Amino acid sequence: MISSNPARHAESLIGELGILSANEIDVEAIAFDSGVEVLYEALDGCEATLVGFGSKAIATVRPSSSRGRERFSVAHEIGHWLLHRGKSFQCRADDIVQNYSADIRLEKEADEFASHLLMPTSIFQPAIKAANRPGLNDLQDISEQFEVSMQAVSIRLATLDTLPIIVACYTKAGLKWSIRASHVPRRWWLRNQLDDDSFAYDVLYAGKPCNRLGKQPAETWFENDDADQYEVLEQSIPSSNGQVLILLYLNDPEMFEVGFDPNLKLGALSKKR
Amino acid sequence: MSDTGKSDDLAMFLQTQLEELLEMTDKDILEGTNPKDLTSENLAMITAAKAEAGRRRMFAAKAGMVVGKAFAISTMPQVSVAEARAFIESAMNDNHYTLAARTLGEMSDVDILRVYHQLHQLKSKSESPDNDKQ
Repeated sequence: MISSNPARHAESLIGELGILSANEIDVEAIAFDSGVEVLYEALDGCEATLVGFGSKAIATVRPSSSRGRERFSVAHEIGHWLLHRGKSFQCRADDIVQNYSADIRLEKEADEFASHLLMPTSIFQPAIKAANRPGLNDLQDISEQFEVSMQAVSIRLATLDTLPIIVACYTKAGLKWSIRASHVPRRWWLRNQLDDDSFAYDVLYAGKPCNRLGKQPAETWFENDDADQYEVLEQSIPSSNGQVLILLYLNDPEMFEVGFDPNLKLGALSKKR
Repeated sequence: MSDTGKSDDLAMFLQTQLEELLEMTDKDILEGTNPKDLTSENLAMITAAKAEAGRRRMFAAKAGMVVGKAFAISTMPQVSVAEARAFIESAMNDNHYTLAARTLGEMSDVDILRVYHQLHQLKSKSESPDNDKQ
């Protein structure tokens, strides 16, 4: 079953265990099957740690009020155990997004493993398809079904690459992170600060709810000079720690056909997003 | 910890059956039966058997978790933080051990002792004669 591809490795394990639905993904039992005992204890500076010897390991996970967060931590440590056995490395950081954006190969691999273990394509894709063009309310339902956080389900949706979406997270200080489906052109450059016409701005600054996807001029979201020619769909919800989570649909086919934007600043293109 | 031996045997059996099935010529397959139908029926049987084996593996894991908690080791050797730190440092350079934790310099004394005790517990279990039975 050994595979160098974390996603394939996780999905193969799900298949081997005969798991066919989201509620069968008992992450502690999967850990045990893989030789990992899971303990929940207070930790200082780490979301979780893993200690292993021979073919057995102990994963210690910091208790959290978010069950999704705990499950992701357990799945992440299973990933380390199956992918990185016999190595010593720094523990998982406190913040899932910090890991996602960090240039730490082992952490990214374990996160990718965890994402596919908790949301295997064979089960996750039909759930997304059933929601047709899911908004954040639908993703909330799906996150409860899979017992994962909204961040985890949003990132997984983008990596699934079946819908023309960008998921982003802003604070009052500006863009914190974003991820787009692979087929969404990189030429569309998100603004660093929230536009005051965006629904996200109302959510963040006025606490005004945004209950469904709504049309927005693309220039509200993108720096590109030609963005005023297109429309996008936006939905935004408040997230933890003064953040707002945004789902954008690029549903105008022409946004995929337009070529390279020569007016984009070269500096912007060299930034990592 | 799990029922891996039985699962491996079953997986090997299923794999062998699948390979034999795929290598069979149409003539080898029962006369009067549509070979394509027979192959798909057998593949469906194999898929169902694999799913059942997986479910049993999960059931065994859930049962094992309960037993594992009931027999958890409660007594640990008393060591100083310095001794524990030295042990962990050595373990970090030994590929028999796996360690995802803060760097030694960042770990609190509580972390150091917890990691030491966990490593010790795992090592003791692996050296226990009962280990093979698990």
